[in-house]
Amino acid sequence: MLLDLTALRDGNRCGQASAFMALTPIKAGHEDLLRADLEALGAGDGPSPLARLPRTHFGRWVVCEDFVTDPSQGGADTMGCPHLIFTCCIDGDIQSYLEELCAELAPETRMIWRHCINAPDPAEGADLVRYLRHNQIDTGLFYSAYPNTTVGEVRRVLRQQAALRALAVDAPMLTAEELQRRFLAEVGGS
Amino acid sequence: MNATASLTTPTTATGTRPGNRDGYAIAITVFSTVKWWGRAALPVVFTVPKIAPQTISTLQRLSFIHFARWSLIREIPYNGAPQPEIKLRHPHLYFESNFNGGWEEYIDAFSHILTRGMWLFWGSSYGFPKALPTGPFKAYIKANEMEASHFYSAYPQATATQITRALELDELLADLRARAADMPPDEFAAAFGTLMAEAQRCC
Repeated sequence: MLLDLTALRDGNRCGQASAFMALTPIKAGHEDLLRADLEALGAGDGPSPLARLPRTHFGRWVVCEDFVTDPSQGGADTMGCPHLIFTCCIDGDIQSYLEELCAELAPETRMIWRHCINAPDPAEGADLVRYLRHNQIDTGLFYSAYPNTTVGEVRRVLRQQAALRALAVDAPMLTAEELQRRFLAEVGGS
Repeated sequence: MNATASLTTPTTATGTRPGNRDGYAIAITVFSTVKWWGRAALPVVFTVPKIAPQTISTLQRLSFIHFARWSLIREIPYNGAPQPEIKLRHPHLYFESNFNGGWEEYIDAFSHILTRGMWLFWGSSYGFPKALPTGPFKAYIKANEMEASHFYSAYPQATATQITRALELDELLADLRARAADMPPDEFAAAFGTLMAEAQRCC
């Protein structure tokens, strides 16, 4: 494993991947409304809206009521009000991803961040990008098992792996010509 | 994503709250309060793996992790009234992981394989009971964990191991893919057999 100079300069990076986190304050009394809106995203058989951003590996929204106080810490530490945590693991740089998020997912971002204190109204576009950047929490250490592989590449190698497995099962019943033809068609030649 | 997770989550996902699942993918989100000395120690802990990546090889042995992150929060971003302006008494450690398997199995493996590393990351957190035995540590994580209201994986049916093996297979396939179209069929069939034998060994 080689020294990752990019990660050394920027804790939000690991190879080509980036980690983003925003911590935004929730309006008084809006926690349950926000939870309901978040749980409705992609409800039923519909895909998550994050599926519309092809650079997203993983993403999550979490409603955080407050920090947990351990009895040994000698007094509570509070966030002041409940906060919304939004994090994602993405391909490439954060700024262009947030621009895509706040444009492509505008109907959803309006619905989510309208519950947050002093979020732009409507919560979309460049104003929301600035709001999320203002509330960004930098990552100290970001780990990826496959830091230089994009979402598209992950999906491609998984498809290839499945195709090769299927071909391996059929291979004993195929002639050399059939095997080669199917390999080129299903696994692909360069 | 909650809705599909209920249909597709494997039975091995023991101990996982519904909101923290999307297919095989599981989310863990944890805050812990950090003692005064963690403010200086944790940035060092975060930097060492970047300078000496071999130190994180133990994490790679936990082959079910896709992505993980740690952040030290020293202040809450302020957006103006009516948000209360807060001065934190302690820094706070944010940890999240995107993995596959089950919550119980994840914590067990984390504790047994990353025992010393766990102390490096959480030794400065109030209430951290040591990684082993796992019982008190699981109780600690449960007390500090939050459930996601929405969790998304781009490839919910794939495990991290499956992806790393598919990437190894891709490297192995590169040569045959490049030559396949120009090879006589019998030569191709022999090369395919050799490749499949290699693939069984490594991927």
